[in-house]
Formats: sequence, structure tokens, C-alpha cells
Amino acid sequence: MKWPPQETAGKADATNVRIRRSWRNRRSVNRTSRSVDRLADLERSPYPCCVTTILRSRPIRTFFIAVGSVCCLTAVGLALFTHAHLCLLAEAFEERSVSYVQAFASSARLWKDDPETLETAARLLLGGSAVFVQVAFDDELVVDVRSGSAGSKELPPVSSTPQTRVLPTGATYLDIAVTLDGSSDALADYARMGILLASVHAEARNTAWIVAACGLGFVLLVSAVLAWAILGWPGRRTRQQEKPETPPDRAITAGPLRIDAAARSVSVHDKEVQLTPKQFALLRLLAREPGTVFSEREILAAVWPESTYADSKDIKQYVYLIRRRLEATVPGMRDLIETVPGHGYRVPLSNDDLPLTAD
Amino acid sequence: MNRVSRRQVLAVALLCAIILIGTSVTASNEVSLESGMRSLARTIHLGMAIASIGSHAPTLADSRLLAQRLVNLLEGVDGEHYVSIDESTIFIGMIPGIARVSARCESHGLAPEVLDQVAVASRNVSTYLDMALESALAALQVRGLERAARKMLAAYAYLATVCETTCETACDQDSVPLVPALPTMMRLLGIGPVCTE
Repeated sequence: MKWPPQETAGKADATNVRIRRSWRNRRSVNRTSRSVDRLADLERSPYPCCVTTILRSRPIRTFFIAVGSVCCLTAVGLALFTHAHLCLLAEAFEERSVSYVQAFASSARLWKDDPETLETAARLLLGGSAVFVQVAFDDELVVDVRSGSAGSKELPPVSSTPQTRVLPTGATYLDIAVTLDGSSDALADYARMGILLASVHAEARNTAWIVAACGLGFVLLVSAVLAWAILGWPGRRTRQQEKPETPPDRAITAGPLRIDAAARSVSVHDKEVQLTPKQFALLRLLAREPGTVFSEREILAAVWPESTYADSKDIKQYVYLIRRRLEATVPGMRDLIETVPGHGYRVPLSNDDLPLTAD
Repeated sequence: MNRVSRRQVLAVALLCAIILIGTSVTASNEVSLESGMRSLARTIHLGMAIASIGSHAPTLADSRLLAQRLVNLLEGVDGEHYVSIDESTIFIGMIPGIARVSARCESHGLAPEVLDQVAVASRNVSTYLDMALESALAALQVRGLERAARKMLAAYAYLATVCETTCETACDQDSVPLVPALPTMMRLLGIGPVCTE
């Protein structure tokens, strides 16, 4: 029997496929050669676990997607928490500040006839958050003490509600005025104080740092759990890898083709063919059951089990490469892998179907 | 005769001088006691205001500032925990002040039974001032704002007790306070009230 094997009922279809394939090959010769080179480079690379290869693995990709989602959700949650905390903090600060001024006002009311003591008490309040203290009786300012940052300029008009204002230095403060007689309509007798908001911002900033640290810890913890759940422990993975492959390594002979799985060697007519591991795996898969057609899905599952990006193009490229190697070793052996149009690939079953020699 | 009359005149003049000096010393002692007592009462009143305001401080830093002010007011410049915050506010201190007033009271020529009552009131004042100092020092050390506020409020309560404020609001004017303190001292010494709260 001459090589190539006799075509049967599917001859016309096979011819059409070859025509289409050759046309496509011509059209994408440059692209194909580049892809082949890239794949060959990948396989020759001393670092097979490069980023691209790692990301092509489904579990690792799932892990990164899950961790990314957790990071995003955590960041959003922390941002919302920090914002809410800042709002609550500002609200509580305003309430306490109003109480602070009211406490001073209740004391100031008793010192109406003792302005010296009143001024002393007002001075004692400066040095902390209070930047200025004013007390007025009958619309007359009797006490006006200020810290250095408040400046000596005239302050804005008194308001019965707390106002957020800005000092000449750029610092923001709460301007709070309360009446001394308890009435809220007219501010004739009042105690007024400017209280810096810097402490609120500092406290919010500190809390934000703590919350960020907690968030980072949470993300790391969740990442570890996800890594365990998705990728498994390194030890478990090693044990899996150490398992003997099924079916066990053995020598396969299919016509002139001989594959020694244990020695990882391929020979045709006793001439050794140099194949990369993926090429070897693909040829071994097909030669393991001569005559059986392997679909692209089966080949992908067997040869690229962890990749979600490998597709029929890769199979075609590898088949092309194997054929080229076979042809280069023993001319005429390129059809040792047969394309079954619409179904997949196979190594011919009978000895009659197998190429004997190209000589 | 001339010699005798001259001696008599000298003796009378010396006696008059001694009497005058003694009278002026007694008067100045009374004045300094009254002014010291009034100054002490004013300082306590100021401390009460600081403690009251400090219990409403918006931040822990403000609470600590006012707690330190109160410690300064209680201990004075020579106090163990005195920290100079600004030069404009230097006080003798309530605790040294009551010690001085008590010492002067002993030489004030009071009747023994009155002196005993003054001593009791003075001891009460010293005790409450010490307790106020403890609370103020605790307010300096606590980490939480609410805790610091409670300590300042406790200090305020002790100072208010010194001024018998709680009794004034709860009892009639003529009634005797449960714990005699500064106003009792001032009443016994014939000094008008200073604490108005």
C-alpha cells in the first residue's frame, strides 16, 4: 500500500478541507509562522510559569477574579464606612461643642459683674480647640480673647446657629454663639466661641488608617481562604502531580511510529523525531488508540487541561508542527496524523493505512 | 519732777506706740485673711467653672488641657503636678491657699468653740480639694473622652461641695449644711458670701 493512504467515501470532503486549509495557510502564513514561533518560544522557555501562562489557567484566573472582587467590595465598604464615620464624628463634635459653649455661657452669666474673672476664665479655654472666646452683655463686647491663629481682624457677624468658617490661616472652625439669658431669638447677651475642626479631621484620618489596615487584613485573610478553596495547598497539588498518569507509561507502536512514553522519545522507522512536550503529548494521545478519531474538545481536555484560551487554532498549529517534524525526519510521514473533516484527528488504524516509507 | 514727767511721757508714748502697732497688725491680719479668703473662694469658683466646662470638652485634648488648668488652679505654682501652659495665668493654688487661711485663722483670736468649727470646715475644704485634685489628675491620664468627662464632673462635684452649692440648692437658707465647708468658714469669720452658685 502506497502512501498516502487510499481515500474512501470521504475523499471529496477531505480534498475540499485540504484546499481550504492550504488557502487559509497561505492567507495567514505570516500570522501562523509568528504564532508557531511564539508557541515554540513558550515551550522552549526556561520559565514556563510566566504571567501569561499562569493567567491562562482557569483556577488561577478564577482566583484572581475572586480576589479582585473581594478587594473592590472591601474598598467600597470601607469608603462608605469611613464616610459615615466622618459624618457621625462631625455631628457628635458639633453637639459637644455646643454643650461646651453652653457650659461656658452658664459660668459667664454669673460673672457679669466680675469681668476680670470672666476674662481669666475665657483665657483658660484658649490653647486647645478654642481659637477665640467672646462674651457680650447688652450688645457690648466685654471679653474678646483670641489665640494667635485667630488674628486680630473683626470676626464675622454673630449667628444663632453654628457656622463653619475659615480662619486667615486656612483652618476651618465652628463658630458657635449661645445666649446668656436662655432666649434664642436676640443675641444681645451671648457667649461665642470658635472651635477648630482639625481634631475631627485628625481623628477621622486616624480611623481611616485603622480601617484601611483592617480591610487589608480582611482581604489577605479572604485571599488565603480563596487560595485554599480554589487552588488548594501546595502540598496537595504536589501529591496530585506525583500521582502516576493514567494510563501508565508504556511504549506505543502504530505502524512505523513508535512512542516510548517512559523515555519520552518518538521514532519513525527507527529514526528519532524531536518533539516538544506538548507535541509529544498530542501525538501520544492520537497514537494511543490508532484509528480512533479524537475531537478537538477531547484533545484540548487531554493536552491543555488547565488552559481556557487554547482552541482549535492551537491544535491545528501543533498538528502542523508535528507533521513538519515527521516530514523532516522521514519524508512522506506527514500524513501519519490524519485529519477527519468535521470530526477531528487520528492515527490510521490498520497497517495498510499507515505510511510505510517515503522512499 | 521734770525728769519724772519726761519718763512718764516717754512711757506713755511707748505704750501708745505699742498699742498702735498692735492694732494696725491685727487690722492688717484681718484684711489679709479676708482678702485671702475671698481670693480662695474666687479661685475655687473659677475651678468649678473650668471643671464644668471641661466635662463638656469636644475633644480629649481640650479635656486634658482644662484638667491641667484645674490641676494648676488646685496646686498652684509650687505644686508637684503644675505645668506652665501660659505665663498670663499664674495662681497661688487652692490647696496652699486653704492651708494659709487655716493657719491665719488660728491666730485670729476666735473663740475656742468657733475656732473648732472653723478647723472642721477647713479640714473638709482641704479633703475635698485633695479629692478634686485626684479627679483632675485622673482626667489627665484616662484615654477616653467620656471617662475624662466623668472625672472632670467628679472634680466639679468636689469643688461644688467645697462651696456647699448642693446644700444651698436643696435646703433653706437658714438650714445648716450637711458638710460645713468654705461658706461656713466665711460666715463664722464674718466674711460675706462669694460663691454665688
